[in-house]
Amino acid sequence: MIHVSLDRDKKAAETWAAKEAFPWPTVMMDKIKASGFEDYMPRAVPNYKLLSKDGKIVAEGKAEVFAKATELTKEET
Amino acid sequence: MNLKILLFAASLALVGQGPLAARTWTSADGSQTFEGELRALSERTKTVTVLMEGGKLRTFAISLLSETDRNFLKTEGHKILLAASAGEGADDNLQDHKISKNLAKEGILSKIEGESFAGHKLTKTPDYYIVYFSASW
Repeated sequence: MIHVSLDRDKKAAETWAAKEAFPWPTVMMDKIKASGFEDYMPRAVPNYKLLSKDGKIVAEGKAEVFAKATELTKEET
Repeated sequence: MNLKILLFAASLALVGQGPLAARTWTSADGSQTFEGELRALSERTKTVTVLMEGGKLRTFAISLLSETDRNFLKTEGHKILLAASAGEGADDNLQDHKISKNLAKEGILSKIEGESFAGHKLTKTPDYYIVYFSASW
């Protein structure tokens, strides 16, 4: 699970992440290009994508990503 | 952001991976206890999978556990699994895959530690990434 923060204000992103105690890693706004996630930028937020390790979009959109993640989790158990 | 839904969706089975949350679990009636590590949690089927001391995986209904254990799973379960999954995956070369190649670069990932972000490094390549684009506003 990777969070891509679109907050231009790092302090705001930090305050939010601290408040929610985000357990996952974050890519900050100024690192998006270097992270490669620039190619996956959504038109609006929030947005969810399920990517394979080779960068293919397996699912997009909250419902689709959740359903696919559940399916994959079941396959692994 | 609906954090609860997000945590549910991102819950990952971590069978076969390293120690996560070894603890003493207690049955609902308090008559039995056992040692084991949390390995998977499903809100859909309301079950938990624990790696027992002897190395066997057991999946059972959450309702069979004590209130303390149920509260632990409710408040910490998904966070523990997600935190563990963040750095786990197949033990292959980060440079071999498109996503991990970029994420492994110095300074790309950060993770909240207390009140501020600290550098975080991807050490292994997961098969899949849930990428959540969002902002505090």
